Amino acid sequence: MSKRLTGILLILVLLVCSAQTVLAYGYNWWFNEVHGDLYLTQSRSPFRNAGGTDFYGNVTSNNNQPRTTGTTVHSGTDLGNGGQIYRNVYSVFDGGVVQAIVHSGENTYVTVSYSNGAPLVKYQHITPSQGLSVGNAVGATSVIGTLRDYTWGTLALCCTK
Amino acid sequence: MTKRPGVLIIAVLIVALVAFSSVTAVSPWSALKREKGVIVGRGGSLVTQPSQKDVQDFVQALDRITGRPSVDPVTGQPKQLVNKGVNRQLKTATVDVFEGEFIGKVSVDYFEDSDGQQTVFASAQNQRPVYIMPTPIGSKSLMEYEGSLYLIDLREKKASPFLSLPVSGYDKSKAKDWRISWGTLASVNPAGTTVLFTTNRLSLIKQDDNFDRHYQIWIKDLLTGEERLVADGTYQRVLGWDGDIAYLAKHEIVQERAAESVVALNLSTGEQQVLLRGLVGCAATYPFLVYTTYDSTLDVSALEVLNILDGSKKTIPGLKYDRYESVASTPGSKFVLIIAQPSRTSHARDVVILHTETLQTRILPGDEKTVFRNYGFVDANTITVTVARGNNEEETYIVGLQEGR
Repeated sequence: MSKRLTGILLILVLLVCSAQTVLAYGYNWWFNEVHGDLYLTQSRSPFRNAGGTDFYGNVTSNNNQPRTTGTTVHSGTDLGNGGQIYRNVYSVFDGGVVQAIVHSGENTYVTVSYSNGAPLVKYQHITPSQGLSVGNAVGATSVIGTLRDYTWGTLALCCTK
Repeated sequence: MTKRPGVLIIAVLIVALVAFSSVTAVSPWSALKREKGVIVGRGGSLVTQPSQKDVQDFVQALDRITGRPSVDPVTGQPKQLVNKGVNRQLKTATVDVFEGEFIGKVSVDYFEDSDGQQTVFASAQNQRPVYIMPTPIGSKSLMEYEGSLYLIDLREKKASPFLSLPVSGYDKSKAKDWRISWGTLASVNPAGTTVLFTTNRLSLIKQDDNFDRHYQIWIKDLLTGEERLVADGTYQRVLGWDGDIAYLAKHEIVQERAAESVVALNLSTGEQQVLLRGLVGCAATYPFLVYTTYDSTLDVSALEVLNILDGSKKTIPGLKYDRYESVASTPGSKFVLIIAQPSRTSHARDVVILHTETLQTRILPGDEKTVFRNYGFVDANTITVTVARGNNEEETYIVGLQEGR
């Protein structure tokens, strides 16, 4: 009797599971990923106004989001600069430039390493500033590039250890 | 034998004097007025802004579920991010922004003189960028908010549209779903008669979502209220004015690197003359343009001064820096503030103060442990420089530019 009951339950569980479709998270989900407040509270914003004061742009696309086309998830966080035409991008900490990749395509970027132990940050969709090259020490008041025109004021930040 | 102690004392005094003078000679910072925290200039007065510790406290007080800050029950504002006046009493007001209907609230800080004259600027706690500039329109200030320009009336705690809606058939109500800058980067001319601004509202009638393609430069006459298209294109900053000429810094790409050019725009004819190209940074204090350039190798940088009136260019002598990071000035000042990097591989930065007429420089040397957080002008003859040294506690130096010259 108990074997029959167990069998029926097992079949029911299998039926329920098979009826489920595995879905990726939709765009209406918020990914509240916080990996420690240390760097968050120490960092400056990559956006400043013309007077040099920080302002914080909205997140326009979260890390690990599904894309509208293709199968790969978004491997960075997009920040909007508030629709402003003032498009300078600043380093968020004192650090050193480890990559300054320039070509005509979308993926031009500057990667900066930080001596305070923060993750490497790749500032993507920006045109690096004149005179900036690998090995340069940049500060939190350094303009490392400007947002590219076609991105409509969106900066992609990718972090890695 | 009896004279020896006296000689010894004199020798010790001389050594101490030499040591003291050498210490003060290598530490010009020590002679400057210093305050704790982050202090900036606003309307010629000093204002404290949130320090790194304040921001840290603010983040740690965020609600972990909603992400909302805890606010003061009386003011409704996050306590940690409130500006405070240093040498004058600072007041704060919340202004309702209307565009036919209520569209939002902004916080403004202001100083009030005994004659009722108000100096208004944006509070630190606004979550969206807000810019405020004085105008000659009564006691009203011009504000940029959400890509549009508004006039703030502090007595009524209300802001209303500054630009016409619609203009030349562009209806702003249709712009809600578009990323349209109805008016941005506004600048009032010194005579107080004209406001220059840039807009991409043409994108609306072109039905083109490449908004950058349709920027235009417009002016609004403050006496007649007329708005007029001056030229196609846009700019990054208005550097200065000379009668009917506006000097603009424009963004450009040189050798696939971001740079600036300086253009003289004739507001009557729309004619544009390129004065300088391929700059890393520039600042104007009429009639001088101070800028940094690189040669074709992008390795060698120089700091130069152009006299707009006679076209003469001069290189600042005696400066040996690998990179110049930024150049800044303010209207009416004879000085330019430059942040310079002695070595590309070092975090040390010097503050270079340049007198544009004499080309004399005064240097406040930095070191690896000194992190520059902020710098800027308080008035024509005073700057603030905020640094953090090692422990991340910020301190601000208030530097009189006429001193030590």
